Amino acid sequence: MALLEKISAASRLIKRLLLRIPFREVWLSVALLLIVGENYPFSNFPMYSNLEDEAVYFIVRNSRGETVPYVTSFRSRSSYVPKALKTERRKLETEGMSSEAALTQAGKNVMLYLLERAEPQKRGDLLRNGLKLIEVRISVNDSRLKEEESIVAELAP
Amino acid sequence: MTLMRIAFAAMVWQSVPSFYYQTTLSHPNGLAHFLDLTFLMNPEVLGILRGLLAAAVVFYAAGLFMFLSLGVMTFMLAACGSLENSQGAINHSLQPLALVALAQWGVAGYFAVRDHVARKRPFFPVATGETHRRLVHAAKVALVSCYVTSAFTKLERTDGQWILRTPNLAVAIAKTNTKSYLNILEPADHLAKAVPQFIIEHPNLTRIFFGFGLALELFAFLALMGRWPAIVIGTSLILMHDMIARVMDLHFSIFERLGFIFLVNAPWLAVFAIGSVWNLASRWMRRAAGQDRSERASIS
Repeated sequence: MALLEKISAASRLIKRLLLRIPFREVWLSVALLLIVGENYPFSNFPMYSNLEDEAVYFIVRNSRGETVPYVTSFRSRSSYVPKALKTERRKLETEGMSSEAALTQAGKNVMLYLLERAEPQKRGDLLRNGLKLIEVRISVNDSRLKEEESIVAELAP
Repeated sequence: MTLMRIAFAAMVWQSVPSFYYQTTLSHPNGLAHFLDLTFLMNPEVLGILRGLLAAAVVFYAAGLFMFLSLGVMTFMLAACGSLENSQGAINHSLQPLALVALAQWGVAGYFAVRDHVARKRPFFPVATGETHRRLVHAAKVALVSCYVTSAFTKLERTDGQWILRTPNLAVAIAKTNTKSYLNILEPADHLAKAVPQFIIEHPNLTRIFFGFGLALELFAFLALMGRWPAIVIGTSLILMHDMIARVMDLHFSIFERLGFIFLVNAPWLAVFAIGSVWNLASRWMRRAAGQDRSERASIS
């Protein structure tokens, strides 16, 4: 009984203290968003939170060296590839693949996924000449932007 | 408040797609952890759910059956968003909409339990004015919490050095411009191309400018202090998003529209402006009438 009274008194005290905190609903919401993280609809909104001195983007090119647009060819967006590649690579590494092999396989898987999304009548054309997924690293060098390319994965014709 | 509900209902309706391409949920996120959301890819099922959503948004806009209508809206937003975010890439553009719906649903549920269960009030489908005010407050809390969380994440991930590192945005903006180009091979506009080099050449000015943006996010909760702070902060947030869209081609229209609906509250502002003009005009006319009477009295 004494314990129940103590618990009741403690909860009343906590409630009184909480009621004194200004904007308490905001702090509770922020804590929830930070703790739950990226689980829709919750998010910690990490956009542009990591300001690294180097950035990476990915291009899909065919064997003629032409850039293949994401929206019109694959019904996807350029923002999809880096996130999907990272997630896929992590999944393959946890399955036991080496980091380099996982990156190459992840690149192929991402290109296959993009092909899956493309309109059926366009898939043949896209595959006929083969596709390459290219990583481009941007950095600042001598007060100028510099870009370096490397091939992540290839799909043979 | 009715106009706010109508505008929010319209946003929810527009945000739920009518069709999904067949795809696998290779990286389950959100509701996909608990529910197989592939039913949304069935056009017939999605059609039925959209029909329920249509009824829900109409009831919500009319202020009827709030807990039920908000429940349907929250479920559809959460389910669709979880499906889209379960394909390997996370998209943040619709999240505030789902969070605002979830917050309102939670508050509606609390009031439903308090009124009908604890206080044994009879059930009445039309929500009270107090409930509507609480729902608007919940929407504002959810919205400003997104900004405050974003600011905390920036500071946490850079060990408090986010502002110092803002010149690296040159690289991030160049990347964003190129990624936009890669979507449909349309080049970025002149401003977007010039900004990265400007940032490289003026790092301290960049820190000051983006520092204001971080401060605006961090203190967005001050919008809850009253109508005028909400209008000032809401307008500032919309301007910030507009500048980000011009410079980085990153569009957060959902954030802007929610800010316009719940923070700027244009209908209240319009009524206030009209009322102020009316009061000024009335006072001026009374003063003019008073002067006229005193002139006639002095002549006679």
